[in-house]
Amino acid sequence: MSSIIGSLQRVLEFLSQDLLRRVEIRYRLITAFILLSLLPVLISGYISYAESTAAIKEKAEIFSKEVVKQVSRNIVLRMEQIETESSLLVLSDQVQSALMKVANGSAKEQNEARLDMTRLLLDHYGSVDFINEKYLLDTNHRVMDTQAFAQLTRGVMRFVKQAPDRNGRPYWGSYDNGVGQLNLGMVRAINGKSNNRRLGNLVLVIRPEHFSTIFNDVALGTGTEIYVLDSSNNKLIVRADDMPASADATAEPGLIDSIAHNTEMLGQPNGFVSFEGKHHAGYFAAYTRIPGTTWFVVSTIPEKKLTAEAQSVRNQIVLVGISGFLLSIFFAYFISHSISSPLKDLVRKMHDTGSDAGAEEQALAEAHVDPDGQDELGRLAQRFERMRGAIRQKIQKINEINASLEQTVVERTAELVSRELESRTLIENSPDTITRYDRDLRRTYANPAFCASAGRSLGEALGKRPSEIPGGSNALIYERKISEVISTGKSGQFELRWVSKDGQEQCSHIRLTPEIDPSGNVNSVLAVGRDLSDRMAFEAAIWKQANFDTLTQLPNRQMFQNRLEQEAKIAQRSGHRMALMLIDLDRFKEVNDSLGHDTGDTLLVEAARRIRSCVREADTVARLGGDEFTVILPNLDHIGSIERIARTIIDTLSEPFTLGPDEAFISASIGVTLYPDDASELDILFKNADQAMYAAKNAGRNCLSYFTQDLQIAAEKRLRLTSDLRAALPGDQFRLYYQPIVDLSTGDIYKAEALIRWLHPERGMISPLDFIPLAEDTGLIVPIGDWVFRQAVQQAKLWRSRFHTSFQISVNVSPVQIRQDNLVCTQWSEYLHREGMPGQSVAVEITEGLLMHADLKIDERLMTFRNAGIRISIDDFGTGYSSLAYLKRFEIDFLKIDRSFVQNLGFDADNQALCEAMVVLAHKLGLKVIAEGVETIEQRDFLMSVGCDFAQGFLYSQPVLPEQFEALVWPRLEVSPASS
Amino acid sequence: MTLIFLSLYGCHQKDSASPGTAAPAKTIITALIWAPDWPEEMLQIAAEFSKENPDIGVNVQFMVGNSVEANIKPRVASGNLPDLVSVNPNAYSAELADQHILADVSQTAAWNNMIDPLKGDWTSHQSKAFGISGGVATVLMYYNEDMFEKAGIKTLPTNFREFLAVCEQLKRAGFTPIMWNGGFPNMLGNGPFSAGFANNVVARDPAWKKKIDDGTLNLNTPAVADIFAKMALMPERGYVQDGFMATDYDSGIRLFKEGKVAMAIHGSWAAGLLLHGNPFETGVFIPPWNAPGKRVVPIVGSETGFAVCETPNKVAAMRFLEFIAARGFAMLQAKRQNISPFRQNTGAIAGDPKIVEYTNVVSRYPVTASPYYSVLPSNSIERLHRLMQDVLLNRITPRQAAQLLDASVKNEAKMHYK
Repeated sequence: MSSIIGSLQRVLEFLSQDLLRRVEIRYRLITAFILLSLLPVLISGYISYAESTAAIKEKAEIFSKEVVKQVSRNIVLRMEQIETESSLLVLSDQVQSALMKVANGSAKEQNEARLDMTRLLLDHYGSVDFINEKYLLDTNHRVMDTQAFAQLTRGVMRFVKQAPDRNGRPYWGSYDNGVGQLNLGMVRAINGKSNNRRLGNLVLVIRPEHFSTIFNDVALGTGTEIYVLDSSNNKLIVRADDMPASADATAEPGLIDSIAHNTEMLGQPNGFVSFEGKHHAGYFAAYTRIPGTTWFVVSTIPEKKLTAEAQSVRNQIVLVGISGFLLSIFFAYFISHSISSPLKDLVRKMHDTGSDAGAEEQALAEAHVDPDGQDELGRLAQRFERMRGAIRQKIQKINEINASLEQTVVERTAELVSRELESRTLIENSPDTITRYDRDLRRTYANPAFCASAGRSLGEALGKRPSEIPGGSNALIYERKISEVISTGKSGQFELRWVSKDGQEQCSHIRLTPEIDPSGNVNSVLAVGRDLSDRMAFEAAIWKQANFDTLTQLPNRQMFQNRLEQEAKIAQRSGHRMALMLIDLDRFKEVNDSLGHDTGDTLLVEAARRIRSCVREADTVARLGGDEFTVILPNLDHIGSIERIARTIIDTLSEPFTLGPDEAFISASIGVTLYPDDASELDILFKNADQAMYAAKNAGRNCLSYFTQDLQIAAEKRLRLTSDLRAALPGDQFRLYYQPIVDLSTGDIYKAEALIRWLHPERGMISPLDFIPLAEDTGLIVPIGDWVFRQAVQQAKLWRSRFHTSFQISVNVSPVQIRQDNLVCTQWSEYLHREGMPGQSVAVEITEGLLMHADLKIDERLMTFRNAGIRISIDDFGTGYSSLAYLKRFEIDFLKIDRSFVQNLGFDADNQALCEAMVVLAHKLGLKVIAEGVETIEQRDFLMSVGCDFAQGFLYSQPVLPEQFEALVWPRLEVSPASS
Repeated sequence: MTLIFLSLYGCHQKDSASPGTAAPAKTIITALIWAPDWPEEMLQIAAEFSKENPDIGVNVQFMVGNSVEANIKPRVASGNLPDLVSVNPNAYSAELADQHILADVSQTAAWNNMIDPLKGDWTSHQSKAFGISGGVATVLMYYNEDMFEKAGIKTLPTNFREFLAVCEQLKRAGFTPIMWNGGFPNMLGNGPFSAGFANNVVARDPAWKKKIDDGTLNLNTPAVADIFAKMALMPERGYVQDGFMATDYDSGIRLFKEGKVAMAIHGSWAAGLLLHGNPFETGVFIPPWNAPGKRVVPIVGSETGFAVCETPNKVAAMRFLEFIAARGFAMLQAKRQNISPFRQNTGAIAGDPKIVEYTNVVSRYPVTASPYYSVLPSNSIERLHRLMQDVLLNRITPRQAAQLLDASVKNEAKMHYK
């Protein structure tokens, strides 16, 4: 015994310690779990399935039998009810009598009997809805209850014929109604109560729903069908689903056979059978016969349906079993994994640690153990041993390395100290300011450059906020900027301005850099600043140059525009008026020309100072250029102050200017306009001031002129006239009139002055006084003057050829034309030459002014006239400077005494003296004299008496057209011009 | 694992669901139909309808007796309303519509397709469209052309005097001039009464219909008595068949078809029987119940039609009504050869060309009259049936018949149901 036990112990020992330990722990655990969970599930599933199948079948049989029995009973009840109702009808005397009358009565009686039967049928069944058809038939199966032509359907006819004679008892059956549907009907023979002879039949066709509704009262399981089967034709005649009973709906052959077999064998009208239905499927059926008919109430249920529940239980058990199986696998795996995984990890880590510690793979080999032949515990012990040896060696090596590292640290520390010193030297000597601020914006470091720029010692500078030291207008903004850098951790820039201790404005461009500690927080901000004070000064100088006049230090045009816009906006908001003055210095050019530009500049500086002194502090005085100044007078309460200021300016400027050794006199013309009264747009406002200023100039200078609408209108008129003037020459609107110049000594006429007239298509004749200045301003004087010259030449050519060979025409030449058109003299000379006309056929009349301001170019041009032989007259002599010097210089031919001297010549002794003097003077210089504006004989006589050479004026003729001129001067020759 | 669960659960579900698949809910409607001579066609229409509409089953119930209204009344009284019902276009049906027993069918295609002259007959006082006509009904005189030829009749009669002369000519030739339905008063009403009413009442008083409704039409007049007198005159002169009081509907038709009578006054609904399958040619003309010099008034109206009751199954019944008026009508026509009441007939037989031609001709008459069943209150119709038979049996005089009819019609005007 003990040997057996010993053997068993050995075997167990072998199994547990040797054989099983060859398998890893996790596989052993999984196998145990599966076996323990699967067995009970399989056994219990099988038992449950077998028991539930048998129980369900038994219950189904009991239930089905009860159902068909109950349904059958209810159907019979309803049939009996219909039979009872019909008995009342067929046994009534009226029906019996009517049927007899129909069979045996006269025509009238038959007719009445039909009506009676109709009424009786309707009385009985008229209100009933479960009877589809109702007929009273005679013995020949003809319809008696209705009109004679009423027809029975073939189905009803067959049904009536098939009804067996049941001695007055009703026959229930089914028939095909001819359209594929099965109808249920009852045929009841009507026998005479007296002789029991057959009188006819009552036929009722019943709605199938009358019976099928009974099915609704029965609770049926799913898959169960219940119906009424007519065994005479094997047709389903009542169905639970209210489908019309189709003639094609037959019962399963297997079912009919089973019922027939069962009924025959057992002799009972009810039972429970099984049969094979469609597709060889098994069915169970409970049935019961409706007494007195061939009808069976049948309830069927597929076998599969019955066993479905048992199968369902079985499936559920299997499901639970499989679930348990899967769960057990999961748990087994989980538990074994929870044990074996740490073990495996431990083995691996020990192996790795051993390897890291330098243990060689060879050490394993030396153990002479097969690692695959061991479980996890065996492998663990082996790795542990290997690791221990390796660690021992490692510790020794670490000690050696430590000693080496300590030496390195000492060397590196010394190096760092040296580098830190270098950096500090750089920072301390940097020209840029370097400061550091903590999170409270207090300075924690400042380099000497900062202390120097702030003018504080390091002790004063530290612990202070920027707003305390160095302070300044934007120091608080600077603090916010530092806070922003602290909160965002992003770098920033700032221009800090402050005033140093010595009062100098300082500006530094400061770059702010967040200093982030190892935990990622901004603990301080480093501010490195560069001094920008020089750059600022430079920018200010540039700005000043751009906006101020360097000579007078007044705002220039640019600044003026800005101020004007600014003041206009203020005026717009405040509702106050603003005045704009444009000041032009009269005769400044003369001072400039005569005394030199430097002196002119001195005058301008003084003029600026004087104007400035006349206005309020808030007013703006600007120099627009040259001798033009403007004054902006904002915020005006009353207009009277404008005039006061303007007058003060005029008066101040009219006072003498002491310019070194010289003294100069100038005056000022001032144009004034108001905002927003005169214009709300600033460029128009400026034009208004300009127009007003010119109006002041035209009004004689040294005065003030306000902008008025008339000025505006005049300007517009001038503009229109200018526009028309451009079209006048191409439009052939100019005419030349000629005024004769009479030789006083002979009375002959061989000279004339050509005078231009403008025949405007809309305005009529326009005076040269109106349009010549315009033509001069616009430069149109050049082509107009050219046209006049050519016309005059042509006229002279004509008259010379026709009337007088030495006829001469003088034309007025504008000084503007002489100045502007540098070719005019050459071209005219060439024109004369081309036309074959001598120079003396034409004389040009120039004014004194031209000669007064003549420069070298003018001299040359006049000399060109002279060289071409063209005569030169001085027009309006005596009204200007009447310088005698130029008369000699330019070799003038004629001197024309202005009409102002000729007027009143008859009685004005002064004029007489002047005229005489001029004649004598001219003659002395070798010039001929022409008196203008001679209107009376007294004037002519006086002029003749003092030796004046020529005269022109209304006394002789006003300017006339060439034809009139010819008629006037050569009246006789006109007829035969060829004779001259 | 989830997959295994799902597959098992799926199998389980399938097993339990497969045998118990429920049939769609089915509506069973009841149609109470007046189909004395076409019951099988009606069953066929119902079967075809159910085949096309598997969700609706139809229980066809047939009316009995001679009166549509007599079949409807018990159902109305008991509350067992059929879902679809045959009705006549008369005051009774109109009143049922106004009492919300019959549904308004004006939204149906059948109504829209019905020809306009008939719509008046089918519109109630409260303007409800209460039914669809089963056909255009005319009453006309069918005649045996062979007999007429043998009797030497060259022209057809155009007034009652000429008609009597034709009868006399036929009688002398040895023929029975005309079939008289004494045993079936409906045909007396449709024939001689409707013709007499048309020419003696309708032709003289354009407002006759309104007056019947409000009880102001005086029927106790010599003109109405003349209707009954003419009815009695024919047997008196021996122009009708022997045993005419026992001649029912079928036998009357048979007499004409067998060549035993020369004429039959009958409805267009019998055209199929009367015109075809005869060993002789058959012609038709307007019953000339007019006096000489007066224009004859033909009879044109609606046949018994179909209505839908206000029941829970109204929607299904409306569908059945549409079917009857479309495909169903074609099936009816195969048997009845009616004149279609519809503008478009899909597959329907148009009716006999002679009848169609006749109808087209009489439709152009300025004055036409409806058949008597559309004219008189339903109770008065039943009264009239007896009065006509009593006159023919010499129980009362035509004058008395007129008086009794007048009393009945005026009485009915006061009744709730006319």
